[in-house]
Amino acid sequence: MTNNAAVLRSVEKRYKDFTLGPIDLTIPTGTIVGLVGENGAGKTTTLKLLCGVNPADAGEITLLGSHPTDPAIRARLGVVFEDAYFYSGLNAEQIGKSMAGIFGDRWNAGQFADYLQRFGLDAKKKVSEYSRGMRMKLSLATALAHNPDLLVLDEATAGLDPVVRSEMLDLFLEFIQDEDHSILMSSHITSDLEQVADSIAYLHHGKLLFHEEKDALLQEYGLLRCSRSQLEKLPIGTVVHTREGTFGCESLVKGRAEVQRLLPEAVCDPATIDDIMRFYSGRDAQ
Amino acid sequence: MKGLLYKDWALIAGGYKANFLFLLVFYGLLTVIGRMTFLAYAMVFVMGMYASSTISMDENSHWDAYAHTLPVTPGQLVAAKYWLTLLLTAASIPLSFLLIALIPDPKPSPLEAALGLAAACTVTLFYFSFVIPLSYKFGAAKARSWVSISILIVAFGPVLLFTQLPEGVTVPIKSAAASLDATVTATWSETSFTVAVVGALLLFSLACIVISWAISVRLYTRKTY
Repeated sequence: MTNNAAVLRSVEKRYKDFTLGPIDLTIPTGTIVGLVGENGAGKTTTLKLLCGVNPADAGEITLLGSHPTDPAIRARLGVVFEDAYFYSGLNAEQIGKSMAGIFGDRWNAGQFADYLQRFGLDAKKKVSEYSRGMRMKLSLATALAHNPDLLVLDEATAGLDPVVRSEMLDLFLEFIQDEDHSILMSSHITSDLEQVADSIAYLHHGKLLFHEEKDALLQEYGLLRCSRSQLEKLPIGTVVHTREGTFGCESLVKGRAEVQRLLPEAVCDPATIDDIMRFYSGRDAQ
Repeated sequence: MKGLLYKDWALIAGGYKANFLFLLVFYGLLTVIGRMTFLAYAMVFVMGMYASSTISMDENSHWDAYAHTLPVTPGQLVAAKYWLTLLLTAASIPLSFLLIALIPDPKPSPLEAALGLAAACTVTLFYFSFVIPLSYKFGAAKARSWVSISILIVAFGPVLLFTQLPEGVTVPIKSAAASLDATVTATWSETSFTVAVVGALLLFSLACIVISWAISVRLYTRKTY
């Protein structure tokens, strides 16, 4: 087992109106990496490159110690894409049979049936009769039933109610428990990532702005509320972006502890991932 | 491969059950009562159509992109479509024979029926050797227009080209064709010649399927989502 489940080195993908990268991203084994970014930032593109759906135009991708185009390696990969799945005319039982033929010995039919039962899915019902949440659960059951080493999830918790989302998050934590499994998940629901992710990678306009340990990130960034004159006392590079309102300034700052020391009279709360995204995109919109 | 074939078979069985039963009754009645033998032959083509339609089903459900993440090679993914086309075409042969056998006398002789079915299989395989790669290249919906254009070019292009050639070129070709016709007539009976031509065309269409598979694999490998 290598120490990294996946590594992207200087990876680029160019489209007519969008360029992703160059990106350097590492998914350490035994961790959950949360991929965040605005719509169109390149999250799905990145995941598709990693899974071998699309080839990169430049750079190098290592997936579970090999190349994504290697079918043997893809047997150790579980994928849930937001909008890609089996035809709605099939039912879970047929999908299970098909996957058993595709994955061979790796497919665990008993485990698949257990997941269906755990998620409350009727194996005889057609996919078209499932709700969006149920389809996501089915995708997840399919992605997990061959015991993958790496799970790649693209907006897998989108459209699920808080109770089901919580079940899913518990399942993800259970999955990485033995430290041999890893997850790379993109999500707009950043509160989910704050709950389960070990590190956060932020894609912005096709570039990776940072990939940092979640705890360090939430410790590092702060949401500062103060006056313009107080703000000007801070060293250059501390303030990422400022929004001015009637009652003063609201700024995203780096080095929260230092800011609190310099401005003890100002309020500097820990920033959430949402705050970080909001302010970075606000900065670039100016 | 087994899983891919099962998935496509489940799609066809689920999606076309009613359509197939309707066709069987409708075509069957017209073939037997109306003595419309060509409908029994058309059955072969319709069955082939079921197989190729799974490509558009894959596109609509975005399964084609998802399939790239599975432990199968592009060659296997594409081959599943060709095997399914061949299997359904083969399965349609006894069915068509049965319909022809049910026609009251005078019915076509077994040789006539076999030749008709071989010709139908040839057309079917030839058609789908165009449809499948074009579906991977342009998408299943656009592929149908491209197939019509391609077949028009392949079928009528040489005829049109021949009429445009100067007499200095066409006259030797025509005389060579006439002498070949005379040789064939002198050495082959009409039946054996027909059997040989249809057999050769059937083999040619199978070769087209193999070439088409190789092209489809290249197209599928390069396709982006």
